[in-house]
Amino acid sequence: MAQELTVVGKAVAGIDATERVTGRAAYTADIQLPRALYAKMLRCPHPHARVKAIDVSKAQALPGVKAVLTPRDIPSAPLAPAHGSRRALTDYVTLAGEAVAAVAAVTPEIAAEALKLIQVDYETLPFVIDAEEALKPTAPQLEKEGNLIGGRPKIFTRGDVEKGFAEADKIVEANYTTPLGTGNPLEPRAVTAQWSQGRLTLWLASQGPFLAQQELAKYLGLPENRIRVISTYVGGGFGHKYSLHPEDVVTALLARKAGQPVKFQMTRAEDMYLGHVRGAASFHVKAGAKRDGAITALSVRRIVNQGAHGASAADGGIQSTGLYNVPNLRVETLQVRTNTPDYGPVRGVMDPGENFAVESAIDELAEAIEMNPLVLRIKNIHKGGDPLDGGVTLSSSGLDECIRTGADRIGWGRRKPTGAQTGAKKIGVGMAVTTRTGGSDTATAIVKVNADGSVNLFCGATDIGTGSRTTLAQIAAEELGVRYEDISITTSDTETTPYSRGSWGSGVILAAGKAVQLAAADARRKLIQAAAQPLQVKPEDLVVANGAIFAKELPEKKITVGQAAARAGYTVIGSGTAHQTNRPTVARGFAAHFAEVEVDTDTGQIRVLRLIAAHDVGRAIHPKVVENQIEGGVIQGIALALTEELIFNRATGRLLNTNFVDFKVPTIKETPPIEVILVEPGDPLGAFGAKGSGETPIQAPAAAIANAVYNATGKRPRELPMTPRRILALL
Amino acid sequence: MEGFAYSQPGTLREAFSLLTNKKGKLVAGATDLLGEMQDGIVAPGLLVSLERISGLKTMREEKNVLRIGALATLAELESDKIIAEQYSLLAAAAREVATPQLRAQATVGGNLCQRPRCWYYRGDFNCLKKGGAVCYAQDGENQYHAILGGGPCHIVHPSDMAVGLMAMGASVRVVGPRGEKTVPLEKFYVLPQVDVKRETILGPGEILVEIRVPKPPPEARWVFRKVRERGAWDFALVSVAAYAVTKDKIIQEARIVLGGVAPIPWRAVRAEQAVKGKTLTGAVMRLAAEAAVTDARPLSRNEYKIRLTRNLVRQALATLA
Repeated sequence: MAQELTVVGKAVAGIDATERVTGRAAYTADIQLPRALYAKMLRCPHPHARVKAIDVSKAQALPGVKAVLTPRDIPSAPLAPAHGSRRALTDYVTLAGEAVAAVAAVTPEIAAEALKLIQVDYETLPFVIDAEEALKPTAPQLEKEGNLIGGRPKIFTRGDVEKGFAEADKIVEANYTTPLGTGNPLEPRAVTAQWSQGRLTLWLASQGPFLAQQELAKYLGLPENRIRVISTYVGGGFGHKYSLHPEDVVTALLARKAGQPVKFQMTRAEDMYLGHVRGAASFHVKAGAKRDGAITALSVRRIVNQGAHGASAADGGIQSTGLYNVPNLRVETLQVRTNTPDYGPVRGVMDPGENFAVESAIDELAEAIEMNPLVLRIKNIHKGGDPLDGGVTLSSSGLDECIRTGADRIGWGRRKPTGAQTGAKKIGVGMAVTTRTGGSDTATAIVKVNADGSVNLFCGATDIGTGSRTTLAQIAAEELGVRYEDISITTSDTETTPYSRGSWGSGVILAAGKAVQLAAADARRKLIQAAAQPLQVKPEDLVVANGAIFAKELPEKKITVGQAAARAGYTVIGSGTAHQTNRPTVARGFAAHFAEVEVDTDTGQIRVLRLIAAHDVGRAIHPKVVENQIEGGVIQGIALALTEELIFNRATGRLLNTNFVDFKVPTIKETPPIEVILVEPGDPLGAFGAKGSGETPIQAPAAAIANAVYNATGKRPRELPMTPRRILALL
Repeated sequence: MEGFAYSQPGTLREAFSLLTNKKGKLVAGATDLLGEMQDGIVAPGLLVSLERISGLKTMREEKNVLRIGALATLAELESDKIIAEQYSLLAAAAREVATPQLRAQATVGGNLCQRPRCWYYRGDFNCLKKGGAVCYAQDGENQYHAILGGGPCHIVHPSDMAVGLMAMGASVRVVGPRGEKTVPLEKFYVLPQVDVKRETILGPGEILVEIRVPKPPPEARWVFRKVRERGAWDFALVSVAAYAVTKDKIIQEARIVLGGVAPIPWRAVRAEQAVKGKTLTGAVMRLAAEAAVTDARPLSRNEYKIRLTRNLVRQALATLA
């Protein structure tokens, strides 16, 4: 690595920026096939009901209707692991909004009219919304084993937590709650399906076309080579477009039945709760420390509303286990079945809520032992090379530097003592740290060098708006030794690009990025081989830079990359596969956030004045792309802290605010100046030292803001979001 | 959304006929109505636009009265020179409405006549206002609902302009098939206990065409404050417009109007009485703030609005002191 980097680390122009900003980029809803029909789903309004009878004959008879499906017409298999037992169409509804029938018609209006003609006789059943309610024996039982999934809590332990508390000089204990939330990508989910000669092509707004392909193949009983999933341009994901969804397979089945392409698009209201949501959760946290700042024990009891289907959401969540070197730890998790939307992947999943709870408790613990909370954190955080649970070690950590540089930037030393201010408006400063494992995934990439020196890069990873197309092209150019402008990239099409598991879990840079680097290195070796003979130089003495291959000692002795490719058969193919799963070392991103807030004690309003986000990203391949990721995540984190919450009507089990007026996505007014600090110690696992940074930004703002509110007022918020209603009740 | 016909009559007479004989629905900026239609709350077969009727967009001062055509947009109110100089309370209220995009389209008349934002009314609930038997807010999720004047329906009136205009002592001119009338704005609104299905006195075919605001005396001072969860594109949790005429530090005349707390823009008469004839000392302001919420009856989740109202009234009066 003696060579200076020429492309990596530079804020090059986005490879698809022109297409995107001129509106030429075709998103799934822009795909308009000849003769395409429009699908609509008949959704059950009840949160728990059995379909006693359904009559679709009038809908079928409506002119313009080309296909109608009921649960009898579709495979009985469950859809995909992420959806648990959920069926694509069902006659047993456990979530208001589940589809009981579907229609495809020549216009969306006729499809909507047809839905009204379907007669459904429902037997409505008692339902339960709250996780804690659902755990009571009187609640309607939604699973054979009861509403506690698995029949018992999941318990993880390290050391002896009781002994740890006995050793502590001070113990703090409190309960924290976080609401039902949702990711709201700008582009709602959409799909178009077309069958041709027994092959299915699906244009799908997906974060993982390969996972969708695998799941579809299994569901339909077809080999993978007869299913093509294309997800070229995707307008945001946030986990929402992970896995296959009911509407995707229903659209494919409608297209097969009608013998015509079928198009479907979620409405905003549907999209807000029928994909994956962030389940409501409560965290009972107990933490103990010695006066010298050694955290001796941490116990966290998590009650997680898993919703109607699925069960894996709470398995992540490493804020209790992964931030601090705590010798004695106990994490108890109760995953609870309810008649609410399915808790699935949503940016950060469990960690933003868990971080709010744990980092509030650490702040409280610091006060209890009369220690600066910054010092308490620095004393206890994991360092690079530390052993982690499961016999693995931490590859690297720049968290210490994140804390120090962030503290310096916000002026931590000038922070006022808690509760010292008079007057209605009070200023406070707070901090929180966070971490996330990124990229335990597999990906393959292919690099094709053409005889004119231009390069095609094929990579399965979807660019869901993160700028990964640009980043991956930079990695290829750097490793290959060509100019960034020489790279053209094709992504996220299961037929023309190799496997990449998907764009989630902060994983693209670590898995796909590494695969691209390996593929480019492979192509470079082949080019060097091809150049060695005409140049009369041993391959090991040749280097590739700026599109030319030359001898290290004699730069004038050179041929171009294109000439070498021509000699090698007019095409040089390099391929590489990165397995970032089950490795002895684990790469984690880290961040320290510092918030300065103003609390209006008359109105309960909180204004974030400044937010400093210092992130260990290993290395920023494209600094602006990484800053964008961090700023976007911080804004979503502020929304979790202050405004966003899906609210149920308890009497009917229906959601009240599936729209952007009542569900308060943040505006520019909620967005303070965000100062991003990139900490780049490098990491041994990723390409050019890069680590994932997609989720850490959303995880820490809530705790940093809550701790700042405490600093301002002397009252500790323990419930999100911190709306005027809650803050006025607190003060 | 169901299909509909769209007409643009050139005269009020034609409009009356379309509204009464063809059961048309009046539309101005449509920023509220289209949302209602999209959500399936109303499905009018005919929309009657006021766009082509002349004289409804003008704003002018005449004999110490500001006359605002119902079709003036909120953006126009925000940037009008006369309003900025003489009636700045209205610009302050207009600026707090929704977003710049919506304010460019939304009209002041439409703002005064907009339907409630109650999530049961807007959602898939057959509530009292839609002809059902239940107010879901009564025992349900009611954090945004009324603390004053509620029952049997507990909506809050969403208009910011109404709060500001009422504080300025505005009246509205209403024309209809049977003639015209000018009514003080506070007589324009109807409590649910009077008629649960509407919020204004407008009868079939009647149109609000103009708003009249008396010119405030040079000694008058005013303030508008709106508290909401989101800094833009959000309705008031509580808003207050306070207007006072003071001579030698003594309040001669006061109007204090609250938004977000009642099914209609709420004149806080007890608070006004508490300041009238007084000097605005800390004690007087505290008493007035308390008087503003004396009649408040919170529901299960909106008690915070009492404290918020009290604090906002006190803050507003402090600005005038």
